[in-house]
Amino acid sequence: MIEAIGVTKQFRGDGTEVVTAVDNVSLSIFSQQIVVLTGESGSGKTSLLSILGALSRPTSGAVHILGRDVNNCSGVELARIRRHIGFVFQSFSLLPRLPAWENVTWPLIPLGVPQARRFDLAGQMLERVGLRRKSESRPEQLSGGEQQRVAVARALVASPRILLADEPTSNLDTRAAERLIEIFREIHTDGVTLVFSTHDPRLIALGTQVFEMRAGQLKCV
Amino acid sequence: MNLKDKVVMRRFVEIFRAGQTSVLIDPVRSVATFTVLLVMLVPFLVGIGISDGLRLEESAAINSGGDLYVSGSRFGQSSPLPASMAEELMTIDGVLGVVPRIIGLTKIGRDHVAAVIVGLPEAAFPDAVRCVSGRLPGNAAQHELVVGTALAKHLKVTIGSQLPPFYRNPEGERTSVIVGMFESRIPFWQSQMMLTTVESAQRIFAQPDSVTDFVVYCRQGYSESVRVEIQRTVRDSAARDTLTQLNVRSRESLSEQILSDRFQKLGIFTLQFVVAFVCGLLVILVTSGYGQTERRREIGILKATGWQTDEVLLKAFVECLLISVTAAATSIAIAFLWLRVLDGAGIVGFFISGVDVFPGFPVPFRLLPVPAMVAFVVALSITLSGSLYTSWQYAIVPPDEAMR
Repeated sequence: MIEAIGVTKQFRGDGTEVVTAVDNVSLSIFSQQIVVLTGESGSGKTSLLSILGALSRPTSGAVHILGRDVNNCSGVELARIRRHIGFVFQSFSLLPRLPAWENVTWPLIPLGVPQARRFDLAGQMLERVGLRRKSESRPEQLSGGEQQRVAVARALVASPRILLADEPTSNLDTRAAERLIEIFREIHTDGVTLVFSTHDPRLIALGTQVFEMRAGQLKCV
Repeated sequence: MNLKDKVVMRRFVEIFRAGQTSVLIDPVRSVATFTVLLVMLVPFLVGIGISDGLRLEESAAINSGGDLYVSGSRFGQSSPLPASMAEELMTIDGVLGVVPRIIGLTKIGRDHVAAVIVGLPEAAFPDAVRCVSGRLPGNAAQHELVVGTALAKHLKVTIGSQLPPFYRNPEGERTSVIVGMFESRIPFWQSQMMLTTVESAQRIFAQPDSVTDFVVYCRQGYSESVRVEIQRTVRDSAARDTLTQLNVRSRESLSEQILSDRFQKLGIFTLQFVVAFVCGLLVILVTSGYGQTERRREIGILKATGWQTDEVLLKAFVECLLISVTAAATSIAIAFLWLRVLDGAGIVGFFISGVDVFPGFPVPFRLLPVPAMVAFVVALSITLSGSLYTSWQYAIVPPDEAMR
């Protein structure tokens, strides 16, 4: 499903200092696996997830997602790859002035899904994450945990083949986190490949493959 | 329509809806852009509307006027002609009638209000002038005048008012008396004209037996031959008598002259609009800059969730289109009200000199489709230049960078 070969990601820090967030990482993720990335904050988990989700290109190395070499993909091809990937951002990344249901269905717009159908799908997804009654609420009217669940609903709405989630339970209370983990189990059963970055032992326990990141390098646990 | 076309069409419809939603996502930015467009477009539409209206009125006035206009000049300046020339003009084959006119400029009162005194034979008072109160002037010795209602309002005079001496002639200073007021569908007549008899006007300007020009009415198809004949015969006699150069202008050439003057005024107005356009563009660029972090993040989210760059741009285009259409439509409505209810207040002075901020008479106007289209295109160009480029810049960077 996803193959990273010698992937390095560098950022230019203050002045001329170059920061290596991901350092020569090679990784293969197969269909229906649950891959967990653990590691301290700043170890490069989010950067690696971004590369695996085609949200950024590596500075060097190759990434193949769903059989396509990301480095050689056009913008349109990358967008099409992203339509098969659901991404749950650590900071939720919801559109602040849109109600929850519209936030959830935003990825369906370029697919041409009619508004009424989108509304139904949003209802189903929000039901799944336990937020049906908050479908008209805007992000500012939701707690951090609720926003996280809206973000999960958005990541799932287009029936992705791969779900990448960056610290998905970090903002949730115990009950909500357990409900979310249950959802992840369900979608995994439906055949979705899952990739998490997390510190949550319950999610780590879910992993079929667990890696630890240290200073940008990946180690199999 | 096959299935593929249907999918593409549905995709466009949904992106269009998303653009509609986006206008509401950031109401402050949308309202600021909308307001800047209104501030620019409304005066433009009002000005163009007045210009078109006046042009139509002037054309109608010229068409209902004489066929030829005979005036005199010396050293390139207008000079009077002998009133007796009317008889000579009447002898030319094809001439139906000759109306002597006196058109003189003066300033009245402490405020030096510009006024045009028009002297005409009683029988030739124009149809476009309707006496709404009082009577038409008659007694030349009394210097009787009728004034346009707007000018009367400006001068604060009523029927029976004595106008203080505004001219001096060898007979000394004389007052004039207002005997009537008129309304005319030609606005600058209302705002500037004082109508009197030829004899009164000759006395007022101390030019006995002189007129400023003649309006010549010709039999159909004779206009050109009469013009040639006037230039051939009357010119010579006029030159002998008065050393005055004769100018004979046809209705068409007068119309062209007025059109050219109107275009000149319109050109000045449009130039001012261009300045406003540039200022508006700058303001929109600034207001677009306001909230750019949010916009950049929004585009990053769209890209991360599978939107293509062209889809992001299409959505941005729809936003601009909706704001532009709304702004242009609202501008047309406000411009109409401005023209109909406020008589083009504040802008009419660009086109008719000597008019108050609130003219107080119905200003002719026409809101034509072309200026309305121009307003829309201008609005769209401004919003696009403020939005499309920045959207494109954000759409081509990797989503995680745009969202950062």
